[in-house]
Amino acid sequence: MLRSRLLQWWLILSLVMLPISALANEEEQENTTTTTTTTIPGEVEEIETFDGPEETTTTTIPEETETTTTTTTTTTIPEWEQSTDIELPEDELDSQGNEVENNIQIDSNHSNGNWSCCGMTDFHMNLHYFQHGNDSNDYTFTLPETTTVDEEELDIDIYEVGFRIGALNNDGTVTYTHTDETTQVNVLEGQDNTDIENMFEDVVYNIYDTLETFIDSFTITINDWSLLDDISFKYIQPTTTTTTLPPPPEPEPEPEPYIPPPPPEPETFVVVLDNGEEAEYEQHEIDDGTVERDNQRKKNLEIYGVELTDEQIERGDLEQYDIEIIEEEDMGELGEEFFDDVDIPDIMEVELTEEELERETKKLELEEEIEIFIFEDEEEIEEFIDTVLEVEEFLEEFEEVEIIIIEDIKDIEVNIDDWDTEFEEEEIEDELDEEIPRDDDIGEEEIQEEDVEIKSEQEDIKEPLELTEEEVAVEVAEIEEVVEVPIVEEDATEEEVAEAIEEYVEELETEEVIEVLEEVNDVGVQELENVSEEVQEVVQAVVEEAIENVEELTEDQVEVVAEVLQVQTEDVEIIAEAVKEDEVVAEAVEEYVERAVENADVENYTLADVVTEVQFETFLENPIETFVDIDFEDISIESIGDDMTQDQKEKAQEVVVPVILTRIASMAAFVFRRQI
Amino acid sequence: MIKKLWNWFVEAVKETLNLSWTLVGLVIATLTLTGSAQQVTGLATLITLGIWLLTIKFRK
Repeated sequence: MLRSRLLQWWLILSLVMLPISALANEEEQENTTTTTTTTIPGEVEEIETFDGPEETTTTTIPEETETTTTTTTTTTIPEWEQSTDIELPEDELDSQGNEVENNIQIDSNHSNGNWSCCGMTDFHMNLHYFQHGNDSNDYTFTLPETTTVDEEELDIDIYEVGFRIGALNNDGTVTYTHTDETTQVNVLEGQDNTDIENMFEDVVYNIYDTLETFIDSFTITINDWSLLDDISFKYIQPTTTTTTLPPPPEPEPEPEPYIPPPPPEPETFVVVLDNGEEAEYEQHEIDDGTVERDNQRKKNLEIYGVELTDEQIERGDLEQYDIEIIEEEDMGELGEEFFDDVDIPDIMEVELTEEELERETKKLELEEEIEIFIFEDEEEIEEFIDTVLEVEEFLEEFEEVEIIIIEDIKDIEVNIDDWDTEFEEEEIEDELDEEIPRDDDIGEEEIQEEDVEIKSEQEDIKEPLELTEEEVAVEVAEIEEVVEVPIVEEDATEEEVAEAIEEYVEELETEEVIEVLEEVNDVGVQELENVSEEVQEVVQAVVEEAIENVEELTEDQVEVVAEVLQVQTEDVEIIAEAVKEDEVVAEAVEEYVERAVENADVENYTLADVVTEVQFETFLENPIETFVDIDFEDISIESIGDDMTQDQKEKAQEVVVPVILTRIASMAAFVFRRQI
Repeated sequence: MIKKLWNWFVEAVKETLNLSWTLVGLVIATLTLTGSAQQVTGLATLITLGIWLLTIKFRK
């Protein structure tokens, strides 16, 4: 009893304390710095308050009096709005446009009576949102370079920057970058919240008198959830070079517009429509045939259920309402019996669609069967007819499929010379392409065109060509020619060799990286068992380099990378993202070449296989962590699986589906056995 | 109380053994997945197994 009471109190206390602890854990003292700066002639100060323009002033001069009344209207802003051209830092997005980490939030939660915290007014920026004491992040604010004066864009030189930072629990830094690329780093001291309303610091950085440069941007580096508001910057108002003309003469007041007297009410006539209704019409409506059209509309509303004129029906507007007029000839096909036996209202005759007509015809055909079988209601009969129709349709389609069983492909003799159609000629070029798979110059243009044409019919993943041993040897030699293994001392350790290779690959230009990968593609990754270990390591490093810098690659280059990894082109970007976030995928990419070589005898060995292998090894090392190490923030039900490559999805499907089916089958077998 | 717990534990082991092949399949499935799909599948497997074992008596 006592234990449960204690537990209840603990729960209540936790709930009460939760919002307080969420308040950025601020518990230190106020630290406000004020810097006085001299006002300079022509100085302009812009302040980013995130609240947009705060006041609009309207001056009105009433006509009857001579006094001037000025009305000030305060605009309430429902959402934050930028009032300056400062480039604010933004959250990093992944390939799907989702936030990688929600570090930045602009809201008014700490002001306006919500928290009344930290000197914030209305909207303000949350930096390092909901994070406390973890890794530091940089938040860069780029100041504007120009301003608009008299519709002319002029350069500005900013010499002072200021901002208010609050709720800063731990020390941080602010780095000011000058236009001459020099920097100045200042410490932002941690604050605490003995007086939460005044827990902020006004930071001002002015270089007007001290330096012969200007401020380009500033970067705040912090590791605690902090609040930022009132970012200000100062510059001298630039002047336009255009000659100032005297003000134009005041335009003459416009004459009051002539308001014509309202037209007299038109005379209306009561007309009796065909259906007996009475309606009012003006003379011009009677003259232009409106009455006649209204009669047609009423008539067609009764017949078809839609208000259309005869002219609209003639031009086929009924189709828009899925209404089909059945010609008399078609109706004849249904058989006279159909009309004699059933009293069909007019409206039914016209509303029968092609599908319904087919069903009715089949119903007549199956009249005997319907009588033999016992159906409970009309719905069951319709279901029976639909099934018959579906089966007939399937059988019709099935008859069209021609199955040819080839017992031995070698027995088929193909005389290429006899082919004379355009399509077949393209196929011959394809064959030629396969015979000369390397960097041959012969007919290069034709092969390029051919590849583009056939691409849509092929799968994105290109299968490696089957080469003869001699061809493989040539290709391998080419790889060894392209790949320059860095020279290291004989007694160098493995680490030193790896370091040298890393340095060498880092220095490679993008084109050189792609050249190496193209050479690898010519022969296939798995054939790299024929090259030296050092070359393999270089190729591995090149693959990693390509994945790391995938954003810099062109579409064609990405295709080359995709071919090496045996994935689809669009998956390369997904892999690049996954490498950053998922250690397993990163390790798989690191070991891809090595494992592909080890599994040279495995068909279609792709990156997905390596990922699965690495996952399995990780699982064996620490089975619990694999299941328990879950980051709920990263999970979004809508985008689930978007961070997987197509190949990975297919491989997973091959496992998941049989598991589910096997389970269902075993359950069914169990139930069946129990029933027996 | 301890006897009840012990009985439940024995039952849970039996049930888990009955599910061996399914669990092997699900573990392999989890290992073939990556990213959020892997995490959701792993978590769902554990939660479902937990519920399955906690509701042994109820299901019988």
